Amino acid sequence: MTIEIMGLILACCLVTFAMRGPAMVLFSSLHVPDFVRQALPFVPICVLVAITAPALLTPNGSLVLWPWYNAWLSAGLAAGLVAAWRRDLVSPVLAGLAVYWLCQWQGIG
Amino acid sequence: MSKQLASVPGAAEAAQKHPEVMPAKSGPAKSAKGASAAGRAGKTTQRAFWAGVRDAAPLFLSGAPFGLLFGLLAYKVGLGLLGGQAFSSLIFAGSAQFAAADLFGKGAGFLVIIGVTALLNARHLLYALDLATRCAHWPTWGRLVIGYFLTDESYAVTARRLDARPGEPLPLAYFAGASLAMFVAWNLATAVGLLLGASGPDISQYGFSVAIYSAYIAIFVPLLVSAPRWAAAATSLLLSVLLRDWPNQLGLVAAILAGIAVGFVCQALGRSRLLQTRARERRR
Repeated sequence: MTIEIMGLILACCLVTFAMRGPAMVLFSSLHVPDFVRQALPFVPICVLVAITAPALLTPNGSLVLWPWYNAWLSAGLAAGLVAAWRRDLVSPVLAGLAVYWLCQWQGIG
Repeated sequence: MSKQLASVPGAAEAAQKHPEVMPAKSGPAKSAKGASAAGRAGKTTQRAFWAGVRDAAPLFLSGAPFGLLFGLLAYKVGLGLLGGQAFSSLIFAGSAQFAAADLFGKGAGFLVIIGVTALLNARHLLYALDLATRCAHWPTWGRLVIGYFLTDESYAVTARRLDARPGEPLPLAYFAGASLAMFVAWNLATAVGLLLGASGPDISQYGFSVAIYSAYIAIFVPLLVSAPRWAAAATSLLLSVLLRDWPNQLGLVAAILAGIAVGFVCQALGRSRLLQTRARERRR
């Protein structure tokens, strides 16, 4: 483990802890501004969409918008449909993997 | 396993009902009365702890595959065995760990990685906000230490218990049981994944990144319950693709912040319109 990785892990650890422990202590006495409360629900959606979208839409660096040419996008769409239908984590993942393997088998990149 | 765990609270209950049959183990030097009171408090704590472990069991079983997946990813992007394990024990935050490791593999700037970790973990502020008002009776050290282990899973379990028993204060031991169980399970699963990654063939060709992105999708799709949230998602989708070539993955950060802003503004506009219509109806 290099010094950089160690530093990265420690920084992430501190940032994560700051959101949890001290927040639990502070929030019982501190007033949280309303706009923070209102903006927070959007945060996980935006982060996860922004991480997922480029990976699925630009699998080899360039945009491939047609699912039948893009195994990653097909897998993502399958996972999304299953996720809208069932509220657990495991079945969308299985659906995504199944469609991806199917595409690979069919020779879709 | 759950049967075994279930027997512990049962025994504690029996001990509470018949303290004379099952004498408390602790406090031999104290008076008989004090010893039994301390023993009872200890048993109640123990019972709450195991109840937390038991309630978290289905969640850590479904979380284990993701811990394994994280181990594989961490090894693949070059975090090393120790680094990967440190991620799981020091950061201990499912999706943020995946994102950080993924970004590390793509050569993102460290500030970007730390920023994305902070943003992804910002939802813990919501949990802390909710729990803090209901756990005001916990000692400060308890809130600090237990806060370290606060995750989606331990919050979900705890919130369910709070809903089931409104008015009853949440025992610190219950939360400790639920979150420690998650911690141990997550780290064990990570270790297995790391060892698999280090010893086995290259698993990436079987599309395990697809599994990670599918898990992200499974997390955010159920959150898309209102128009402002869809607007936020659409904004960050569009911008994250358009700005994907910005150095250090800075386009990602821009897409996230723009998405949050658009969602927030849409919500505020919707609310003010709602207030206006209500005012108009009242005037009539």
